[in-house]
Amino acid sequence: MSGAVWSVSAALFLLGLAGVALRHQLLAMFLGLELMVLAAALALGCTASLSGRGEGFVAALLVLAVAAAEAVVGLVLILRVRSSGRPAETQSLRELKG
Amino acid sequence: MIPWFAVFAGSAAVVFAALMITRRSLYSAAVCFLAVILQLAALLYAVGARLLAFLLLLIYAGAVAVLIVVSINAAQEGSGEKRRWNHPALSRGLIAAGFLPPLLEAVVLLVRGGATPASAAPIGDLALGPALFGPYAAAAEAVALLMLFAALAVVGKPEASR
Repeated sequence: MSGAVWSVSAALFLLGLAGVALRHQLLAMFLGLELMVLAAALALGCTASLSGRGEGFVAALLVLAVAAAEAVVGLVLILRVRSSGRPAETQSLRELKG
Repeated sequence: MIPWFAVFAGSAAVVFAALMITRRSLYSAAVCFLAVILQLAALLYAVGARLLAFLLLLIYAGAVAVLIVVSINAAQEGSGEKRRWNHPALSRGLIAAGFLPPLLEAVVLLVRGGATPASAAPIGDLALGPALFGPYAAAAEAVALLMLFAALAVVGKPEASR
């Protein structure tokens, strides 16, 4: 069962990575990023449960909390890019100071 | 534990994740993301991590998914690229496919009386609180401060730029 959980986590992480690398829309990239974080939390939580060690639960919980904060900041940044008149795509963000 | 239950939830999560990154419509991607969250919560529940499954539903399905949908709506507002971005042409089949597996899993859990923890010596959910405020208190405080700073940055930046 542990191998199956690791396989699911790896598949989700790779799919999220593919979403970040292949998509051009910022929101789609953001969804891929969240998928990678979820895959990490899944691996931590399932491994902690299957091995009977509590540290993984704590780590997974902290990862979820950090991901929630990151989601808020990321979405607000995307909305600020959009409200500045530029499309929320990677082509519009080629320079640090535009 | 029901092994096939966990395998089914994991397989469905991978399928919906693949759908999420291949759909052009952001609305469809958000629905697939929500389906992935539901399947991961079912998987965590199946392996005995019930509190994590509940928190995943609370934080992601209850807050982050709603934020994503609101952001998609707000990002396309007033733009002339609505059609290219994400016309809400969500197929009903996708929504049904996204929410049918969790429904089936809930029925199975109700009929079977819930999944039993997987490990021989399961970690009780009640032990998580003392761990968070005991040996991991510094990490918990750091994450709480990070969330506070994130909220301050989101709220404070427009005020400072005026």
